[in-house]
Amino acid sequence: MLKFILKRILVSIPTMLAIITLVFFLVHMTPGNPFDGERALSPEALAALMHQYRLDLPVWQQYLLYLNDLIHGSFGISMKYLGQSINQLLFPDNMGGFWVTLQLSVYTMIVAVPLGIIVGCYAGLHKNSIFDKIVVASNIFFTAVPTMVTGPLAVLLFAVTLQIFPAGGWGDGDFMHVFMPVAILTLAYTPTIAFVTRGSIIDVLNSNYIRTARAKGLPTHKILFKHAIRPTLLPVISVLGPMFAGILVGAVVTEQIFTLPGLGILTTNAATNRDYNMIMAITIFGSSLTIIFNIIVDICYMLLDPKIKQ
Amino acid sequence: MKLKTLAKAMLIVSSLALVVGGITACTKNKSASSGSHKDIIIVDNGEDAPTLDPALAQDTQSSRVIYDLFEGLVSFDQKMQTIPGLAETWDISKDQLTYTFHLRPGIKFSDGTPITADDVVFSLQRLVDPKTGSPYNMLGSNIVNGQAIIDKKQPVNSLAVLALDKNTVEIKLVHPDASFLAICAMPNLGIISKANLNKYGNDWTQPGKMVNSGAYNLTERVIKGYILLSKNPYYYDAKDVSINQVKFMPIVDYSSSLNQYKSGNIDITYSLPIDQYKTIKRQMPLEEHTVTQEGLYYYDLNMTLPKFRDNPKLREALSIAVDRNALVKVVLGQDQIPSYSYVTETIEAGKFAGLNYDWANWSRDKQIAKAQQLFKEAGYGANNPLEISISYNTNDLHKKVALAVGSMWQEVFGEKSIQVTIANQEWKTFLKARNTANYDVARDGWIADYDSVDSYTNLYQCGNPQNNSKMCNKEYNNLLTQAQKTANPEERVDLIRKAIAIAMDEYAIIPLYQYTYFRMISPKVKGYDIKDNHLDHVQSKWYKF
Repeated sequence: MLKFILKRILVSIPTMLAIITLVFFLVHMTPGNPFDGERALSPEALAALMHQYRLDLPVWQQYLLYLNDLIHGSFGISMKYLGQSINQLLFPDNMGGFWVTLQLSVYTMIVAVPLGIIVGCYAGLHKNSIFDKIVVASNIFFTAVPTMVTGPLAVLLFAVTLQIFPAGGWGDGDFMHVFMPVAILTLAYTPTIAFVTRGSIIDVLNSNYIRTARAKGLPTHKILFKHAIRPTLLPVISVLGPMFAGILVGAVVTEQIFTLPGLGILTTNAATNRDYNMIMAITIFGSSLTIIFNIIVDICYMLLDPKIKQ
Repeated sequence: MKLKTLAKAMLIVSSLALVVGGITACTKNKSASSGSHKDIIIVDNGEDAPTLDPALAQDTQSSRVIYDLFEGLVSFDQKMQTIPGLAETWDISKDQLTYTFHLRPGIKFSDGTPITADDVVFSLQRLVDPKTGSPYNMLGSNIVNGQAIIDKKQPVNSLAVLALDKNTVEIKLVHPDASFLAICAMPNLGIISKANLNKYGNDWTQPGKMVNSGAYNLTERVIKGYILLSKNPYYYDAKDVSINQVKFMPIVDYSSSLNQYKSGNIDITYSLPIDQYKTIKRQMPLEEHTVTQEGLYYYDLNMTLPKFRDNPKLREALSIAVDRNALVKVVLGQDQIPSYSYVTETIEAGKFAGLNYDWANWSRDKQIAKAQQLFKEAGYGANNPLEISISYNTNDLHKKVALAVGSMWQEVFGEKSIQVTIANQEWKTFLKARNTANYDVARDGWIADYDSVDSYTNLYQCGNPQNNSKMCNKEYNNLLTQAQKTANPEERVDLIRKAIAIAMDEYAIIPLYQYTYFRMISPKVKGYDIKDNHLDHVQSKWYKF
């Protein structure tokens, strides 16, 4: 097991290096620089800023210096929030940045995963029932209707009209502020989890070993919990990894609608402002998360499926 | 087995909850809304402020917060007139080249240390110091040696800003400038503490470290979350500052902002969603405020291209053919003012009004006939159609304007005589293309920083980095230089009016309209007199509940 994890981590190092190199040069090739604005800077001011951020050096030198910074654990200084370190912006001492996004995604997963699995199992067990049809239809509905629509609608109803929840902001991460964004994300992700679970359990229940178990006369709950649940969860888990990483790197729309100080907003801002260091930091962070979650998914697979373990 | 699985699941869920709870507890700070909503005003700032350093600010968002945090020698009232700031009085020499400022006695920074003439000298030196990289260093270029310091030809301490004694500062100018007092009231010239900056270096703008000279000091900041300011007890006018705390929210989405306003979350919005403008104006006429802004929206014609450079009649025809009234009333509908001049009617209290093109008051038919005639004389028609492309940065409003202008040209000149394409570009790509004259016709705009016609006239000077059309008329430049040198205010206005008329005859830009800005202001907020605030300079010390 340990050997497997170590191997995976070793394999991911060249992957990360390739990502860093590719993104670094792509970002520096994009037209425009971080300091272009509606008001053109005077050549002297521009030169001073370019020097301060090492942008006056040849790109390969910038690249090597950047790698050196990375090895020392620094993502550099933001070019949009002048003088602020990227590490501080992404992982601030107080609330904000990654901490907000982390809470948002963990809360969402805590609600959406059990709910999705239970609903999906129930629908799969009662295939073609009204409940099942609702699950299928709601998956299509919420996939088609994005948070861009459900979010503002919820704000209009619960914040503006009924005035139950605040219309935006993260507050102290308290229940009232967190509820609506988490509910909207849950609404967006639960149907997908339920749908995958449903498909998976239907497949599993149709397999030979379940039929054998039934033939042996085992009671339904025993069949379900002893034989069916593990293989059912395998495809679900493979969906959850990227899903979790996805919310972590940026539930951009949700963060924008509810004005949350999370990573999503920082990401879109970094791209439009050519905040090179921020773009690099978020890409590196996002890729590492994806790699880590993929390793976790693989470990879960191993735990659930003895065949892989061997 | 069933129970075991359930217990396992419970264990996982509860440990996750603990982890998150732990993070919340660790990262939780003092509550931002600790005061009752009565003591705190919550203002949408449209975006997050990229910097709180006065020297580095160049955008509305940073300036808005900096106005509360730092005060200059001079300040603005709500009608954009200059009033005493940290300086109580000043003397201006007869030749208008020497300004002597007398600081208010006993004024202090937010840490209780005295504000001295040395701090003023330090703040102004820092603005022009090339090491600072201030985008607004040109504000100090008229101070003796200012430009030379910016160009690295002189040391920073040669700047002609002298501390005569602890409370007196003398500033010497290169040429007289009617707007010098207004420049002193700009956020970039806010006075900072020399001792504070020396102590903390680059970290000095962080909460807990920053020391302020304005009505408020920085209490908390969450990037993209909020900026919280609290009343500065050492501010010279603290007894008249009514609101204890100001919280700036960076709400990018105008619809979210409006929703938060309606639900009582914020007291003042930054703007309004364009598509809901008319409905809001009708439903909440007392809370919605539309203000004429000191700024112009215009189109650049690329004067480096032979088709425009060598063909003044074509440039004139394109300008006349645009129906500004229809554009403003039908297409935009937000009370913008049609523009027929290179400067606004409102700048410097109307000193440069009435410089409109003579065809501005013609009937539409007469305008069309003239435009068609000029277009023909320029050598274009069905046999030799003009191909033209309008570039703009991706944005609904810019797209609307480009579509409207394009279709007006096609309507006036005939679809066979002109082929218009409109091309949207991502923001930075667009800026690069426009600045390097890599376009045909480009959307442009300018919002004045302070009440001086220079804000506009500089835009059309040869070599100005903001001169995107790249027009260059030596006579125009000479007249402006003459106007700069004169100490006689009437002569100055005459010279500048003459210069503007010359620039307008170049037809290098097509002025379209003067901007408006919008704001929702909660009825409970008193003291904010927005009506004549064309420059949108706001200080929270004006607000009262």
